[in-house]
Amino acid sequence: MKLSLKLYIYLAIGVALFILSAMFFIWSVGYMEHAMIATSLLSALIGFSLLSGALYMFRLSAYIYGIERGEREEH
Amino acid sequence: MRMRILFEVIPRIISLLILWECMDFLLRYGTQLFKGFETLLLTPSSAIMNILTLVASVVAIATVVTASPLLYVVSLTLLAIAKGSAGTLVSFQSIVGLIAMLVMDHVKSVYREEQMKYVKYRRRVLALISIATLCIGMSMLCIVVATYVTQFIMAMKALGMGVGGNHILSLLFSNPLVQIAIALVLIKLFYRLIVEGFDIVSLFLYPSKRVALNVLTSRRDIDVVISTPLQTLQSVIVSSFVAPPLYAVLYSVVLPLLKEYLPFVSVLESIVIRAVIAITIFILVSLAIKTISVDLLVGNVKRVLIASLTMLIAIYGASVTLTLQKAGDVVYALLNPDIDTLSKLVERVYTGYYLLFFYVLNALLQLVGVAP
Repeated sequence: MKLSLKLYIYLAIGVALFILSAMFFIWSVGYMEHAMIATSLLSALIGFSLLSGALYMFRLSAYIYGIERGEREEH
Repeated sequence: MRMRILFEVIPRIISLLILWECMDFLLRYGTQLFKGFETLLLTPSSAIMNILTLVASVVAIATVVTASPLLYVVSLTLLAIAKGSAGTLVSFQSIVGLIAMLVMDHVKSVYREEQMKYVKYRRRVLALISIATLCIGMSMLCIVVATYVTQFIMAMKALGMGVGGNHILSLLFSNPLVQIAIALVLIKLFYRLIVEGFDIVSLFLYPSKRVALNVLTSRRDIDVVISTPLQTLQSVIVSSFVAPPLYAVLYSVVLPLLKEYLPFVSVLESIVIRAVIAITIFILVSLAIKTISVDLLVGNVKRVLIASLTMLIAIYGASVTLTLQKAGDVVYALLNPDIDTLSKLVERVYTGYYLLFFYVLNALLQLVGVAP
């Protein structure tokens, strides 16, 4: 059985959020080096939020994958 | 049963080997200890060091008895502080020992007798590749997270040295305790996210329809209350706006009324009780706002409605009472609440309230020694 598109959409959103979060983490160190403390802490916070969002997306796609693959195993 | 004994014995042997130095100290000086502490304290230059080593050795014996990783860390830390001046800090062996003890402690808690299962690989190459991927992936993850945290802390440290002009800031950022606290927060957040990540990887590796449907159809897992970060700060800011009017209503309107009937209420007018009541109202309001903001997220409107109605009724009632004192007619007072006078009172209380607050804050800062 072919896996549905939904899985890949969630995966893509997850990967995009993950890359964004990594960028924010790197930016936070850069801001700290340029003595922008509040900006740095805020971007670290944004990085953590985006990372947890990415993980939630991965989890959703894992559930969809589970439903579809689990179906195939039963047949 | 044999494995269980192994898990109990190995950590004790490891801690005995690594912490032998401490216990050796106790054995050597133990006989002298019974004569009194004088022998330890005779050399003043190393008195504190000796006491620290003594405490470390007692904790080390406790570690060998209980095989607890926490006590192991405590005794190592005490030993490191005691020997810190000598230049020998935590050794490589002790860190390896800590890892071994942690692994043993974890395996001991999840190990179940005679319920073992093995992972079988059909091809040897596949086994090699998967194990290598696991090892390299784990190490990379650890290295990336550790590098990030180190970079962050190093940048903060450099900043603390750079802002020499700003005393509080440089004090804050060059303080090792602040650095440790920030590192701990970062590591804890990363730890939680990584655990979550492993959970997801296992869902991908062993897809199960039953588990997925269970989670997706249960309301308990979907209706999660999201606690937004910095909520305490938010509620404090909002309550700094809401609390003074309530205080004004209490002190300018309700208290004079009460004083006519109950003369002993004037006790409440002393400055200490005023400050206590001001702070109490502030804390109560901020707690209420915290619960209300959660209710707003969840969609529980009833409590929000009750809170805002209470606030409105307090303001309306106070202004009606003010008119009633002047005019004496109930119907006229209900129709023409004297909001102008009340707002003037509230305005005065805003300044007074925050003068009181800054007074308390300044006193606290002077106590700590930050402000002159």
